[in-house]
Amino acid sequence: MAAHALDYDVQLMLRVKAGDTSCFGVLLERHRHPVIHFLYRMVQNHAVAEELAQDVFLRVFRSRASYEATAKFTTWLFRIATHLALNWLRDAKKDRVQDSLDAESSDAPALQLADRNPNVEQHMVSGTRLEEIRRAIASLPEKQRAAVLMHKYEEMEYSQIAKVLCCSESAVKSLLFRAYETLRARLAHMA
Amino acid sequence: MNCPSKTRNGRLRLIEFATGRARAMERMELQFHADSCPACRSLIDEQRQVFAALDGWDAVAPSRDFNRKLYARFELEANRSWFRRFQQVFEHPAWIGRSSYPLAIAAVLVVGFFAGDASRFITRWRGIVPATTAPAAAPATVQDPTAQLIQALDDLQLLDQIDSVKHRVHRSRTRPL
Repeated sequence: MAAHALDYDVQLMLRVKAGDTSCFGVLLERHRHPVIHFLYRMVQNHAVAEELAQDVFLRVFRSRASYEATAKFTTWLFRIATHLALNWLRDAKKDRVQDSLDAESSDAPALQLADRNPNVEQHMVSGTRLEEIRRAIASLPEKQRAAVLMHKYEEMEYSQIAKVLCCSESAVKSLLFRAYETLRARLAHMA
Repeated sequence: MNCPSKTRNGRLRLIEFATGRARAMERMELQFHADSCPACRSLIDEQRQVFAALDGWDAVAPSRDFNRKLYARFELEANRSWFRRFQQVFEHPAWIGRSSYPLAIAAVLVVGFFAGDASRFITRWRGIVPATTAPAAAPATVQDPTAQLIQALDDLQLLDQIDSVKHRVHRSRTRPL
């Protein structure tokens, strides 16, 4: 607790717990962008990322009464976000398998799946380059993907990533090691 | 210094070095080693290229009505049904993994079983009261089956009488003048 005494987010959350709901608005403004960015890079679909981000903040607000300041607020926040993203990816994978089975078992024309690419963004940034990065990240197993995104974009320590993913620090190191090996093989030529 | 590129932990140290987040002492040490080690220098360069590529992936900005939609969901939440509230207990962040649903249902069943049978279970276990107890007296409100049958027949007769009266009234109304 003492280690997190100066954590501004923890103080805000404790005030939300005490009934000061205006502090929730401050927390939302501080963490809305990182949470949406993380979820967007995880699921690679803007609409889904926003929907999941709303779920994250809804759950934070819902759990305010039972909140305990045992860790950094962002650890807790990203734990919820990662949990929701992994569930969504698992469900999406199941749906894709089911769709492919349905397509095989019937003579119906091939199912038109929604384009997961963010078109506006693709036009703004060099398309092929971005597509290659997107594919490289998407090719990573989900936990490796989450670990890389938290390490690279959120600049989290191994210990914090471990708490978010509910695993040991050495497991996180292993995840990151394998993920970066894969990314080096796929992206090192790009710079 | 042993070459860090030969071990997994060493390679991770080189990755941290490439991010620029390594501690000052370690940064100096690794830089000194990399200057004379082509393998480590190559790994650091490749990793920096990966980070540079990842930096080019800007995430999109949240939509303008994100907060409005969120607060609308809060309002919806305030008006939700009791069943949904019960479901949401299991969506608490502390409940990690979907295996919590069957566990929760099993827990409810076990608690229900013991709550329903608790007194008999406890007294039998302690040996205070014999296992077989005399059946409780029937409640005063329960009627004799014969009386119930007579009551039902009376009701039927009454219904029959009402029906015949209705029939006669209907015939008198529909009779041609």
